[in-house]
Amino acid sequence: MNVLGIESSCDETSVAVISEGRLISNLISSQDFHTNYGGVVPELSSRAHLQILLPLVKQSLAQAGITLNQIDLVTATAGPGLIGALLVGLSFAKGFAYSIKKPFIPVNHIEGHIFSGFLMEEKPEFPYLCLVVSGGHTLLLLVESETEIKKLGTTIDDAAGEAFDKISKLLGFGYPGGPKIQEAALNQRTDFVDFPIAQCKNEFDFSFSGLKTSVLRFIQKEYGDASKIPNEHLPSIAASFQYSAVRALVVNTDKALRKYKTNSISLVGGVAANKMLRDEFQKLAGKYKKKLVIPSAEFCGDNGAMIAYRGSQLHQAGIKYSFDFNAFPSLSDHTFIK
Amino acid sequence: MAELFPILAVETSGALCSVALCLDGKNFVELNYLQKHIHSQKLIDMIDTVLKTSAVELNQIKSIAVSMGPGSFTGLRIGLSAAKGIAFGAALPIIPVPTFDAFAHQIAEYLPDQSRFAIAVGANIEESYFTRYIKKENKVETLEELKLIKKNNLENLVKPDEKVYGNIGNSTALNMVNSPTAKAIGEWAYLYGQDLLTFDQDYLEPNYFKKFIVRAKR
Repeated sequence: MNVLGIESSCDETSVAVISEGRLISNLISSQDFHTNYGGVVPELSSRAHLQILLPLVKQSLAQAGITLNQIDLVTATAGPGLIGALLVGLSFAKGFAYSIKKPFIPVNHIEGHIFSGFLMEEKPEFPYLCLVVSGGHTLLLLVESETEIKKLGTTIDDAAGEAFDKISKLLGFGYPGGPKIQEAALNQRTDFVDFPIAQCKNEFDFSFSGLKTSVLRFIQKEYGDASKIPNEHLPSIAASFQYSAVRALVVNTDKALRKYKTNSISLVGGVAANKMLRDEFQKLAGKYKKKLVIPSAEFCGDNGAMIAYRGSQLHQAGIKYSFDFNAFPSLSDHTFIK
Repeated sequence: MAELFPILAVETSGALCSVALCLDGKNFVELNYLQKHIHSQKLIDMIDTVLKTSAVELNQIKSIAVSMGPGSFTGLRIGLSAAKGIAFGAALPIIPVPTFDAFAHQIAEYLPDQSRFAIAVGANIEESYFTRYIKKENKVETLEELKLIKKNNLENLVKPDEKVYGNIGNSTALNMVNSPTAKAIGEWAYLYGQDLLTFDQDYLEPNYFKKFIVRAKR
């Protein structure tokens, strides 16, 4: 069985081929020009997806060494994401599946992330606790099976990745914030400022808006405005912010591990590339003696491999979709997360 | 000359989602769905319906004609992405069709020879696409290249007795119609667009026409 996976939900176009359960191609084309605008410009993103998609599909099939008539299943991200961007990959995938007369499976992007640990040699074991952290989402989930995902907590305002982006912008490090903050914070004092961790009504929910405001207030109080921060203070502020953001994620995960019976822990999504967060999860796994699965960097960011994998999972579960399946912008529209 | 028929034609540049199968220079099957935001949902099923209705298998199609704009950016991308997917899977050539030229061809069907007419279609709140054509010996020729005008300037641009089609201002006969149907896309491809036929579809893009300016958010 050969599965084609197409991802185009934000600023990465990616095409992957999974053959007999083995990933044999995963090409990712990143749109770096958005850095000029301080964030992703949806219209430009959609245009770039359409420019690169077909060449990328051809290249991926060539790398996989398979021809068109050897493809058995076509999968593509249908949401959540930027509608214009999603529609490029989704429309192409539908047209392609239709013309080669093969089934088409629309994939929820977040569900792609949730099961991305299965692309690794060591796979998560059900039930597992999954923290999804990306630029658009922060979700703490209990994954009981391929189709039963219980939402324990989510962010009530900004996503974790969004907080990194905003603070990075504020401190003048630019976009994307995650890697920039991490770089600046390397080997710096994390106790330079004691930024707070939000307590939400639901014990597993997150909030990063308050943290963002308190960084801003601190800067206003100490320096007047961000441009007046002495250069030697910038890395320590970044490190203190990163520490608080990571603590917020870890504290809730810790609580959930105490409350729910699980076999593994999985940390997924773009922010899972953060070294400090990965280290903290290692400690958690040690503390609770759980198997920890964090996908390698290639599968943390947006990628076609996780879409192909999730698509084949749904296909094997016997779930069928028709060609009138539309792209959707927000997570709650079509998901197995309850 | 390569055999073009049957031509599968797709038009998604405006509110109208339209699919046609042109069987030859004369006979066709067309399906139209006028509703905003349904293009992505309905397009493949509409293509399937048109094929089944005409008892034509996908592998019997010889070319795909696609409306390239200008028009709704997202709409155009839905049509072109789907067309690229189908063309890639079925090893078919694509004929990219300029939307307004096909629109003019469709309008001219109902006009006598030597008719001059203009088309004005809203591009956004303030602006409108504007172009002029003439029908000569059953062929449509461009009199004035497509351009963007201020909507409130339309009255100054058109002569009192000039026919204006589209959905702007004093447009008369085809009021509120802002795009051709897929049959016109397929016909234009056959009558005027054979030189545009291509298997090199990698970087085929809609005619966005308007330069996209990113407005900085402060």
